[in-house]
Amino acid sequence: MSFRIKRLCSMSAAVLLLIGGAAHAQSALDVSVLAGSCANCHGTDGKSNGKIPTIAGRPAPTLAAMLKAYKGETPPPGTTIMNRLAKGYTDEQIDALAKYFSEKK
Amino acid sequence: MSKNTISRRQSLQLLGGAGAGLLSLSMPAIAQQNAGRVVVVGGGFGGATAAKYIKRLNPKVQVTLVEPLQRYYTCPFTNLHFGGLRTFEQQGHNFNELRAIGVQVIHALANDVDNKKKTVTLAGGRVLNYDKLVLSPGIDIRWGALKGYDQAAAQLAPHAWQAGPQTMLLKQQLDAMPDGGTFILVAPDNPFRCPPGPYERVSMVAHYFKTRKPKSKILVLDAKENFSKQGLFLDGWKKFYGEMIEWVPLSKDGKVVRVDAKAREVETEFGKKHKASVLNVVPPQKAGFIADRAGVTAQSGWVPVKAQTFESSQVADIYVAGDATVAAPMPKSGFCANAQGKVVAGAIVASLAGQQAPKASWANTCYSLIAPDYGISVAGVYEEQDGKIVEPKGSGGVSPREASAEFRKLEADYGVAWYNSIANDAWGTKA
Ligand SMILES: Cc1cc2nc3c(=O)[nH]c(=O)nc-3n(C[C@H](O)[C@H](O)[C@H](O)COP(=O)(O)OP(=O)(O)OC[C@H]3O[C@@H](n4cnc5c(N)ncnc54)[C@H](O)[C@@H]3O)c2cc1C
Ligand code: HEC
Repeated sequence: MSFRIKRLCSMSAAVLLLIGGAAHAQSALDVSVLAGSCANCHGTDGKSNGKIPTIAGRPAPTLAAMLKAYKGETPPPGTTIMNRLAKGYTDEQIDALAKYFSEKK
Repeated sequence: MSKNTISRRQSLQLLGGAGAGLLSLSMPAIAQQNAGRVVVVGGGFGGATAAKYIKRLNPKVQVTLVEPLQRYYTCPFTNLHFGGLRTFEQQGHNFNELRAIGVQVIHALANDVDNKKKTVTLAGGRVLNYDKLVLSPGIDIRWGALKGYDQAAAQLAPHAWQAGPQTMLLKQQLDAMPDGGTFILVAPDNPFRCPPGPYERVSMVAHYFKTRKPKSKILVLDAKENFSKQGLFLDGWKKFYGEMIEWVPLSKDGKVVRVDAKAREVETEFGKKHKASVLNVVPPQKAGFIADRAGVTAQSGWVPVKAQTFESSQVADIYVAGDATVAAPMPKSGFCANAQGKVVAGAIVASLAGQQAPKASWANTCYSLIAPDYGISVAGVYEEQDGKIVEPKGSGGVSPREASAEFRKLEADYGVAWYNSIANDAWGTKA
């Protein structure tokens, strides 16, 4: 048991925090796994060094609005891939992703 | 990494494998073991990502990466090398970033796993103990599964399905081929590494021929009836390469059953013989051999895993990522291996801390280049439901069949951007 507590203490604090509404708590670890699939296009932590836009550190409402627009019937002109990807996430997951990337500086 | 760890490792090296078990119980080591000890076998897309993300989630976990190559070359974008659009070196990555974040990198082959004692034995005899083991060994070729195609044959008729000397051999053969020659690509049945890979390769070889050897022909002999992004590829081939490429599906006697590498000749199911100037055989595959040694491979040759964590469904505390796994509907892609590496990292860090595994989620996108400035893609999103991997309704799919030149150009550019991002994400390589 004491081993276990030590292990818990040694985890990055951020990983242990719970985020989101009380009803559907997604752990921060859940959200970091969810966000993992975005990093291999948008860069680690959403910081891109190429043509795919950086999503780190941008306001959560902006990110969430863009993702919901991709999910909708008429994605913004010029969209190539995000319409196909965004349809795989619930609005709740989108809000969590938006918050996660908005906090990456 | 603390001095203690290093000195313990040095003494391990001095004592060799036999002392490892005893030493790891000694007092000074215990403090470091609290956060857990992870060994990762394979420094490709799945393994490098898992090692990095474990360290990112909990820097106190001891992570050792075992990978024989000092410099790893990705298969992705080697097709562009055949097209003359990239050098081979542009696909090379080193392990400096992983070392910098505290991963111990050992350049050796893992020879064996004892899943009861929880040890990995390296070539040379060194033994590593683990609390959690990650295997991401990629594929091995099933030598001999296609009659006549063994290791010696691959020196004459390369597969180039693992990046390295095989890639260079195929490039040399294409360069040496006279104009008017025939390139034959033998494509395997499912499942295999990179479903769109053979067809992107054909596109890039066609681009090379068109610009340098325009009288040449390409024949694809396929053991399948359909292939990934088929409509888009066939449209693109016609548009850019006219009649240069002929694709022969299973039902038209496309299945090759025998290879004569010396004569550069193949024979199909119904006895038809085809002679090539350059013969590229993409042979049947299986999970890397270390998975067999660890007892996690099933009869199929691939590794079944629990969907939520990618822990082996046969052996506890061994997690498997990448091409070695049975992960359908996810394809065997570098993108998926990277996504699986992150799910494995989350599951291991949680388990070592006595916590529940995080909810799994993965995505995939395979970009393919048909011609310069003409890219296409297939995308998917995946989640775990009742122990199965499923795709949320309405998500994923391929690029539209009708699209503007600008759209294809954007996807070609995004393909390059993807490559640079994933290389940075897995190995820290700056574009
Ligand atoms: C021509 C081609 C084009 C491709 N294009 C794309 C693409 O555009 N996009 C995409 O997403 N995917 C692409 N892929 C697929 C991609 O290459 C694989 O899906 C990916 O490499 C799988 O990652 P992995 O970690 O499972 O294996 P690998 O990347 O192969 O890594 C395995 C590593 O493990 C090491 N290893 C093996 N056994 C041992 C052992 N016993 N001990 C220690 N180390 C060991 C190997 O040396 C190797 O470095 C392509 C593949 C091919 C062939
Ligand atoms: C296959 C690569 C790829 C993946 C994976 C990916 N994206 Fe994107 N993303 C793009 C591209 C390319 C664009 C530009 C729009 C387009 O062409 O679809 C974009 C645009 C965006 C934008 C709009 C940015 C802007 O400034 O206009 C947001 C927000 C975004 N993505 C978020 C995400 C999130 C969150 C994820 C993970 C769930 C994700 N993306 C996964 C490639 C990707």
